[in-house]
Amino acid sequence: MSETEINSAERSHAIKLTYLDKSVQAPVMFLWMSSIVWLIGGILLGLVYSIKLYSPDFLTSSFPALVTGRVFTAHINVLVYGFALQALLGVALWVGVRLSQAKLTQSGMVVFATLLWNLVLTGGIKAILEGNGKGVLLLDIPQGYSVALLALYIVFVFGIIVRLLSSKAAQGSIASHFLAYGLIAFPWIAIIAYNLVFSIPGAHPLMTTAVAEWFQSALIYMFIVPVVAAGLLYVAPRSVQGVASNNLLIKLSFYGLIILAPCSGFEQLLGSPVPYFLPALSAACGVLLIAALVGIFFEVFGTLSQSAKELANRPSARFLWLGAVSVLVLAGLKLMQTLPLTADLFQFSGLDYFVWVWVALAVVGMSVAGISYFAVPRLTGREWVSKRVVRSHFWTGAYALGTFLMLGLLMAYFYAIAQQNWEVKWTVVNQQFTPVAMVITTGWFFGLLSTVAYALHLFIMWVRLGRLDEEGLSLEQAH
Amino acid sequence: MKVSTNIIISALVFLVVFAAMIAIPYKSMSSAALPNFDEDADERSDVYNPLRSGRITDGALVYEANGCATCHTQVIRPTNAGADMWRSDWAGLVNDEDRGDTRRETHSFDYLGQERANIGFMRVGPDLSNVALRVIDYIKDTDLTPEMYLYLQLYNARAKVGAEESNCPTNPYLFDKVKRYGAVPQNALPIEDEEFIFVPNEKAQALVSYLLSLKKDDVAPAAVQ
Repeated sequence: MSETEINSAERSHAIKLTYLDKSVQAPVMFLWMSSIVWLIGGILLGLVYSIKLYSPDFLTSSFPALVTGRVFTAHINVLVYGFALQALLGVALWVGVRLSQAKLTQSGMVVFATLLWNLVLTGGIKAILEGNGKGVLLLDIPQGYSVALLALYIVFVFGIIVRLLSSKAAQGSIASHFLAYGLIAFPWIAIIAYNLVFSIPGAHPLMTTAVAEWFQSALIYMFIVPVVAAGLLYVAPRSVQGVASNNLLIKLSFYGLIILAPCSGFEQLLGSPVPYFLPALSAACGVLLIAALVGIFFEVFGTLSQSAKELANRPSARFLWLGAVSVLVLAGLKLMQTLPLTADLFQFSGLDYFVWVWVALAVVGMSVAGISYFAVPRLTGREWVSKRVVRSHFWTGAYALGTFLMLGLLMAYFYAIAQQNWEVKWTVVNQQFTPVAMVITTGWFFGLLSTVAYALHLFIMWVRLGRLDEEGLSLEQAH
Repeated sequence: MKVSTNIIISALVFLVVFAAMIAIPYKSMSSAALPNFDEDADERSDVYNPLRSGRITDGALVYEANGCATCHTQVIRPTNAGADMWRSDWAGLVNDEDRGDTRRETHSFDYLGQERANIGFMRVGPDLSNVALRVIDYIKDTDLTPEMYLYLQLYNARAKVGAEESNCPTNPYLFDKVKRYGAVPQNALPIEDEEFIFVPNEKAQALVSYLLSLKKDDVAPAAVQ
């Protein structure tokens, strides 16, 4: 092709992308803005929960219903169904239309569905805080609300799934495969888990609990990780103006994920009187699953490393890098949950909580931040306003993650060791939990600072007050 | 490979995993018959009945809905998995008057009567598998009934002598604050208040009944252990 023909093709492609972005602008921005508001709510609940662990009467005189157990349950449900799910649906919509090269035609319906999602979820969380939750982690929302949320989910994703399956343009990208898998998996695992845990009369109580544990793992490795991976794989090469680095590695990771993710989750029942092969086989699958996560990390990391300059300067590249590292760390946490030595030791000392915090704040939070730093200027036609705010978001977020990962796990380790010392009275052992709880408070405090910074910046972009600038925001110079 | 082909592959993989790791164990466990004692293994041949008395089903639902499993576990793991068996009165009694050492690991029929096994998420508070045994010990030198001890624990754990450091939250929503008038109900909390009495409501009664059913140190057949 001549240079004129190349320029014309590029311009035509850019115009097409603009039309695609315009078709999802309203629903994606609304989803991301909603998700950040929920994240702030989830963090506030996390702060209240952690403070109540060492000061149990905190807020009880004003809000007697806010007991530790209900606050914790609400906190996790808000993080997952309020923040993570909406953030990932925003990613799925934007990446989905771009991969399939087909516009979203019902954007008004998706915006309305987002509004309904927020209303229904608010009702569900209120029910949990009133003591009317179902009492099973992440299956707590009462039935009526859960059915409504599932129906709304299908409204969100049905069109994207049809496009990904049918569009020729989508077939060539491995991101399409990850995205389709994640989006299709979620309703199936939710319906199966909900029915087996609540609806089958005469079910053995241990097996209903086992299915509930399996659902938590499936939610992470069959929905969250694939959709995050799709977003990382699509945006990473574009954010550094490079190419995807190793197609074979990521294809192996994909097949590893789809084979092993459904088998994992029962290792959480180590030591419980379930059929022994369940936790053992699940642990073996979990160890192999780690390889898939490491593969995703190396693919994204390798892609981002093509341009050190872009990686240093572009907000999206920085956060995507952090997102990729988060997937690698998740692999390490999975290893700790799976190997017998560490699984036994950490089983009831807080590791599972730190895994959920990591999934929400790091894997989803940092990855979606990176994707949004790339996507939002293209969706809104404006550029991000302030390097300082981006840097605040990044560094306070990094402090939060560092607090949870390093200090949190260290304190959980000391607590785990204390639990093993059976000659010491439990009231004395329990005092070792206070440092764990205080680390959680500190981590969420930094998380709140990070999220508020980003929320304000996103809001400015949402209301189209961003900078009119053809050059993207660069972090290389002082503000 | 097309996206649809990979989706079909993943669906087939999921079906196999679902059948092997979920559906079959789920069905087998749910239809498993309770084994009886065996003369050779157990030196007795009578029927094994692990059912406990109390409002187990609805009490467990109150326990779940209020997130008690966030801080309390209900599983005594084998000794290769943790020190649960050795911790005082968690797994049973070391010196029961009639049976001596009654400690044992949790087995699969210990959760009968409940819809879900409340294995628990974290151990902020102690394991509750045998909390009823501990309560009997706690009230020895008091004139409290086991129910009243637990009502007071739920109302305000830190108000009990010797438990000032407890992290258990107060649960005022489990009690009705009623104006003091005439005879005081027997289960009203022994709290000094001239104007009001505090009476456990239906949920508190169910929860306490459930907690007092938590005694899992009975002799179990070798076949379930």
